[in-house]
Amino acid sequence: MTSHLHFDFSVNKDNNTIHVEREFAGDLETVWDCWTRPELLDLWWAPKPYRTRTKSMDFREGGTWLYAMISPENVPHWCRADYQSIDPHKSFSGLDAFCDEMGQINTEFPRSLWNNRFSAGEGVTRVVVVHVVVLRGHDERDVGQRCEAAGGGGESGEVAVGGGRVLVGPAALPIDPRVVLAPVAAGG
Amino acid sequence: MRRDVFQAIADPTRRAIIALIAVQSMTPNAIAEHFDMTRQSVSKHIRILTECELLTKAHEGREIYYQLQIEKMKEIDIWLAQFRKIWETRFSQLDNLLSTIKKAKK
Repeated sequence: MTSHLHFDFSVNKDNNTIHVEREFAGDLETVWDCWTRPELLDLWWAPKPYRTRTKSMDFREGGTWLYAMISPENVPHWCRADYQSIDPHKSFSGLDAFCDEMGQINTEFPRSLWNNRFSAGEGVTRVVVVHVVVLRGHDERDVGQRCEAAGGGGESGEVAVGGGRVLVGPAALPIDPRVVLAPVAAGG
Repeated sequence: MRRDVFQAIADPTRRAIIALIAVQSMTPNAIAEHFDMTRQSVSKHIRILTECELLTKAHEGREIYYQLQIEKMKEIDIWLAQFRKIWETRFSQLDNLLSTIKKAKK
């Protein structure tokens, strides 16, 4: 039923971004709500067999969404999203991280910066997600600029690999990073 | 210079070269004929692909043929598939949710 909906996924290593574009059969307001309201995010954000449980959500610039991706064995992987800019029904951006239940950031893993843009089409809503991976030791402001360039300039998006390891935060890799990174480490 | 497979696929011309060679081994001249650019530019892309170990050279008589290293391509596929799968699953869940919301509104 949804196969006609546009889906584009591209990766580019040069500026460490992932670019995902998708259309959804819903009006702009509803789709926006699904991406920004915790009771709705909890229903779809974690890919099966994981599920999402929000602990706290403050959808404001400077606010945080603290949530867990819960495995089928009931092991929670805590994540947080720190909202940086919000332009209602148009776009929002922020920085994500793996953390503990109290929101204390796990610095073992990189964070990624993302920018989600929403636009209304004919009977659909288009969402463009650009992820920029924050490599450890890099200035986050620099990454912010690259995200803007990648998201606003219409460049093709990209992903990051560093030393054979995929460096992406929970929004792009929403499960236990150790599980996901291990098989990938063989590449590169 | 150390290169990796992800650098190879970052460029559309190199992706096109990979697609060509996936079908059959080709000489540098045969590859260049498919592109509207100088022989030299095509050679540069071939060199990068070779450095990334995606292509290997084979000599047949006087001709050099390039062939695709399937194992290297699999690394890219596995890696990309992981990301793609996560987003596909997530989005199909959102499709379901939107459909549920739509029905509830009626």
